[in-house]
Amino acid sequence: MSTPLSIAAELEHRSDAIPELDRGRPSWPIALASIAATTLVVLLPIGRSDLSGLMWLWAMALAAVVGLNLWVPVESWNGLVVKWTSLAGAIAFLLVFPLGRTNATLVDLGLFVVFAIVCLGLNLTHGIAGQVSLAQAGFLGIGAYVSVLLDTGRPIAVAGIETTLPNLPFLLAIAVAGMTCMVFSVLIGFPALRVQGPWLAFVTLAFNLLVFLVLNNEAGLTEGSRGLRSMRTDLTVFGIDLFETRNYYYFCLVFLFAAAALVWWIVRSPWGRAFKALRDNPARAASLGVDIRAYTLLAFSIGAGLAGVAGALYARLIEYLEPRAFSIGQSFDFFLATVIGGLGTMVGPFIGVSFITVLTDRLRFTGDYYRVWFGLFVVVMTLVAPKGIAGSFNQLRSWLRSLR
Amino acid sequence: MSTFIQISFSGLATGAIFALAAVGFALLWQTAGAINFAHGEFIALPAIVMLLLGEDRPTLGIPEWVPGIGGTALGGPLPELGIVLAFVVTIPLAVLVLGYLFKVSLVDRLLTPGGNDIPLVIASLGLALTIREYLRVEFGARPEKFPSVFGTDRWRPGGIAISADDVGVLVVSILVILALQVFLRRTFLGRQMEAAAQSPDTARVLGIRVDRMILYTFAINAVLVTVAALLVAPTTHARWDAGLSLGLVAFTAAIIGGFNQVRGALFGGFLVGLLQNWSAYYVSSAYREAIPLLLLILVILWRPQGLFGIAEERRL
Repeated sequence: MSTPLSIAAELEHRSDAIPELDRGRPSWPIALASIAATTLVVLLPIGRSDLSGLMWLWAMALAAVVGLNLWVPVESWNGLVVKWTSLAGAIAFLLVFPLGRTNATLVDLGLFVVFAIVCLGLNLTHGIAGQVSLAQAGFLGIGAYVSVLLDTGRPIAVAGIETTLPNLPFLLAIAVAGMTCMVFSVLIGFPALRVQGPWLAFVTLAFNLLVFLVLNNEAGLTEGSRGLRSMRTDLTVFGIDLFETRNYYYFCLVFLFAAAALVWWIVRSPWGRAFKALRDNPARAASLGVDIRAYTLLAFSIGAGLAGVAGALYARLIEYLEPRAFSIGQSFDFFLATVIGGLGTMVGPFIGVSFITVLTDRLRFTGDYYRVWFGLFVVVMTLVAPKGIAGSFNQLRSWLRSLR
Repeated sequence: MSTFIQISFSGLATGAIFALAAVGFALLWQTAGAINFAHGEFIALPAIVMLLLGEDRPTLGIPEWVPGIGGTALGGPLPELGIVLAFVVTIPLAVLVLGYLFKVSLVDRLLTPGGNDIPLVIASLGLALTIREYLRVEFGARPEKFPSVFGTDRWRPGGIAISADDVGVLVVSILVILALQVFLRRTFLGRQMEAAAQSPDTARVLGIRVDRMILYTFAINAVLVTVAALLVAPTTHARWDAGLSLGLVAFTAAIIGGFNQVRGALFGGFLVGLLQNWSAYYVSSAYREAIPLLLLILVILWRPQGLFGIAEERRL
């Protein structure tokens, strides 16, 4: 899978400035190799819990896909074929990998999908608009609790008032969860975005801790540290039974694809270009008429809104909410995962989020030390590859080009 | 009234430790422009090291690579003596690792003049995670009791309960901060450091070795965090995750007081300690951490230079 922020994408936008793009000739061998390798990567793991004997084949196919993306010039016809095949492969992988898996694995994968939405949002806020937010877990928590409280019809007692909660349809609850986070992000962001850089990090961190304290202490509303049940029993959307874990996984996947499409579109829209101008040189952006505060607020609130939607999905995936899941430590994880993946790229959040979800179990050889190594990895990456994994991949590709 | 005095007094003692932590945090920011998100872990780590060196704790998981240095090798039969000696041994270790190594390996590489300060934020968050998780894996997740150097005496003059630990903490922190202030204001070296912090270019022209001064700041910070660890650990216990809340409190205090002033961070520390104790008693103990955070948000929004800070000109 290649990154849409790559040279080709940049060039497409500046096609007015560059007279003609030499796309070269499409070559069948490269196209076939790309399709074959991608197909192997997607199809081999289906229904297998252990690749063992086929592991080398799978690894080679994956290496071939990565290698092709690295080697074939992105703006050529071949490059486009490789890129779109890889993208289609990645989507297909997410669709077919869950076939024949246990519910526990599906929940693991679901967590990847849900957290990927969170990191996509953060990538927009930080990677595209350059605002450091350390409240992503707080927004995830707000979204989770709001959605669960809105669609259960539970009786509650807060501040002496006893009432029954509404019982909204699930989809509406998800929308309200996202909106609530956007409202909160505007409330906190409107004044906070006067200050930028590390200051915003401090404000958002303080906000996240406040959210945690409220979730933990307002037991009348949230059940506090005892935890809140959020079962999927009787949960149906358009007649689809979401109690079935596999159905719910696909339900979350729809939201992930929608979120990715949204971010992809924003980055390419005039908004996205304003965001980037803002990130790269705020003073110049302001002098060119970009309303700095409006745009940073927009980026911040879209990121928060995505986290809120993800929170609503998370609640029903885990079926149990406790405030600890939304602590500042979790916000640090989202932040570091996004940075490690590669800020400002489309693939980055997916790579990064795998480090804090699916890979935590796969890399068992590290034992208890997994998170120690993750922390060290972050430190080393900031020193040697500050652009993250996806960013370094792009750099490596440009370097390979310069050799030719 | 006596309750109020009692609460305020222990609030001052807690605040004194916060002030120590906040002053170190503010010094690094002021002098080197370094925002250290691992500051809390820099306090949690020496606490556990001191416990390891100073006392024989069979319950504390000790990493295999650490040579057998229990309480008998370094301390005497008295645990207090053990901790004091361990403190003396930990200081140079902290200066080396949390001061020198931290500066050369991370800060110098990530902070370029006029550059972006976010890479260091990222790296220090990663470092904090590494230290925290390492402590959890190697020493265990259970909080360990940490002895107070001042003993466990309590007095009740006029119906106000006062513990020896609170008095000792207050006196030692104030002495340390006074000494630091005198050093920065009255000694030649201290004046050079101030100059390097306020205007590095002018200082360089005047022949001050700015890099050397920045290095001293890191060393001072390492000493401050070790003192803070010694004083705070009897209250918080030696815990792997103590750094999360300590770091938060340190920068809350530093920002509330004023980032660019040692004095500001000092007042900020006391203010946060007092606010926490007052709100715990008069409002709700569950929200004792919330009040300083609300103040933090208000301060950043309306007075980013801090309550006691001096506004800096905005640079682009």
